[in-house]
Amino acid sequence: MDLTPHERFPFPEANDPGNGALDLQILAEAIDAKCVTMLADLRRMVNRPMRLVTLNGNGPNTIIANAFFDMFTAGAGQWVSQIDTTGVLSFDVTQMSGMGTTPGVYRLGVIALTNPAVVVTANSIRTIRLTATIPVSDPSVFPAPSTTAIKRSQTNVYECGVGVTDMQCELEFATAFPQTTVLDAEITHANVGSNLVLLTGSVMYLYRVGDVDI
Amino acid sequence: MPGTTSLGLRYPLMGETVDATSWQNLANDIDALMTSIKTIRDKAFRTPTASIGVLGSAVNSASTVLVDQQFTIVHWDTNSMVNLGVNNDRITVPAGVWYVRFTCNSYTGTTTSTYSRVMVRDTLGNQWGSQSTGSGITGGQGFGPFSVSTVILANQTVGIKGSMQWTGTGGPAVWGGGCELQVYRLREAADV
Repeated sequence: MDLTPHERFPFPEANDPGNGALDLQILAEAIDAKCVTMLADLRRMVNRPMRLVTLNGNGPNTIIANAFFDMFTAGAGQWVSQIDTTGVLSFDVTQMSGMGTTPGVYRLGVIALTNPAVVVTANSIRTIRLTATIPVSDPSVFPAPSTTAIKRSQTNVYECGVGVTDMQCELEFATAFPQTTVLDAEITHANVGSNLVLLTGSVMYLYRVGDVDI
Repeated sequence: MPGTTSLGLRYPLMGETVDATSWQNLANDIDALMTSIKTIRDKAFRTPTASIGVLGSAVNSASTVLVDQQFTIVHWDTNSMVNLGVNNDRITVPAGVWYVRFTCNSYTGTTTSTYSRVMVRDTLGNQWGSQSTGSGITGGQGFGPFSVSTVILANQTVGIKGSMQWTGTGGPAVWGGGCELQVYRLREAADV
């Protein structure tokens, strides 16, 4: 039995005794194994891990001024999962642990629509901040290190007297080791006249962009 | 005639006569397998994408009203998702999860402008993302450019639109050229 030069498919040599059925079986199983691997690789690329949630009703009137506030708490009770490929969504798109811990490049995005509950403080700032706390040390090393790196992205918008303000922020980051990256999406504002409300139409998403190496 | 462990490629049992049918069965199974691999490969490497834009300016005469941008040119369209002759305000995407970006150039022509907003929405009435800016500007100075990008879940074929809004006095607001709506598919709506 000989093998093809690249993919190592078996075929009978000239002096082999010749068992057509067995030769075909061995060839078929070799093709089967190669194709299973190929399909798995392709599906891993096509079936990109992803979470997408939308706010389908206004959040509670709880975002106080001048303090960072968790986005999920700001929309408590109103977030609706649109897609969650991991199947373990605990209504927290910002915890990558549910995405699996596969190293790779990821993108986190937030669109926040906000309005003061009562009084508009004209020209006051509103901010959304995204943070990724990424393990950057090899967990296979003993003793286990626990070094992390912080990646952060931020958007500021000033209210103009209209009230409703729409803000967008995205953060891309890479994870090198199979450990949990903790993500935070937060909002703050200086509308001291009253608390802020997160409005219906707000969106959060997290998905795997691709491999960190090839 | 048994099949292989995972994919069921047919081969003859030991002791069976290997004839033309034996080869034909295996060849047909490999043929079908290659077709299914090609289908998934195309999804992986030939992502549908489109970009449409505006040559010249766009007018939004009414203050506070959110209007859909009217597009005039197709920059690219790899999946026949654009027909500006029928619907010049959208890219019609098949089911999937899509990354969408809408950008508008600055506008002029108003007496005052206090607020401006761009938004991505679909023809089912869903709002998928928006970005606004605000400042008291007088004398017809321009706002912008503006851009919003977002992720959209389409469970069925749906039109994606870019909309814009301004608040102030005077007008109409004349948005300069360079407005663009772009989409590319991130993944299928369900695993393949």
